Amino acid sequence: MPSEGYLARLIALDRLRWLFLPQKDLAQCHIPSFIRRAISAPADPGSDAAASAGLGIADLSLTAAERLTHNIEAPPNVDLNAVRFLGRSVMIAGAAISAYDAVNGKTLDERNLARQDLLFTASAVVAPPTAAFVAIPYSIGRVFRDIRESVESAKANDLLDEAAKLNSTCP
Amino acid sequence: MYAQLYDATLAWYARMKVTPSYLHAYVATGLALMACLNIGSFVILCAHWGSRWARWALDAGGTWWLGFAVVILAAHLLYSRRRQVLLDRASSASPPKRSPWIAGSYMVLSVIAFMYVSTLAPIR
Repeated sequence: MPSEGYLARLIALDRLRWLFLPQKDLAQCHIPSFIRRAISAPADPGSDAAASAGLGIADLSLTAAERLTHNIEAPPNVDLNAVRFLGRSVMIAGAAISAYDAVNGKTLDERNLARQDLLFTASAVVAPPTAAFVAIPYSIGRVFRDIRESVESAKANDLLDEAAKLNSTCP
Repeated sequence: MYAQLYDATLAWYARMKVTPSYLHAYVATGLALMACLNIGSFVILCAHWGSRWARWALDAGGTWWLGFAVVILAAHLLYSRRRQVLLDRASSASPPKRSPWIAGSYMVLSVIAFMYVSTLAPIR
């Protein structure tokens, strides 16, 4: 299955080809089959990526809090350990969700990504001090990837709308 | 057997400089995750070898898996509480000394085994 970015580029290229061809031929005005498939897709991958990015940011901030509060002397009425344990709980939940996705993902790509997530999250669960060098940088990259995917998907949706409009204006 | 693994995990996280008041909670959550991974690996392997109950378990859906994970976590937290009381009683005499590397190896092997076995799960 092509990625969202690839789909967006394909649609953009197709749109260019479409603009330069003579519009009189009705056959040229039909929406290509891959655009039709994208329109009829039941789930919105952009929303999924955006949700994943949001969860990733929450996970990242709590994991970072777990690590970065280690050398801080808190006032007696502040329990920083509770923050640390909250970060730890989020890590455990993240690893469990990745494990579930690694088995129940709909596509092979989705499962491989979940396995990769599991590997990095589990490293922070097994050895918490490694989180600062392994899990946190990986989470930052993952969040950026999700945001980029979400933006590309939104662009692809805009292009689809424009393509649909162009199609409706054809004779 | 599990008590030895628990004590080894306790030594492992103590080595990682986890705050003593949260040490048992770290151990319980870590071992619960590893138990989930190991049971998941076992179910996937059984499904791969054609077992009907394992296929049913894989098709059961997220709610069942969530319930299963909650039960495993609760069991580990209860065991941790019990073990904590036992260790507190025994601490004045001779606290159990276990090699932390047993726990480290167990956790690393559990993750690697799950990552390998999960590739055998059928794509639905």
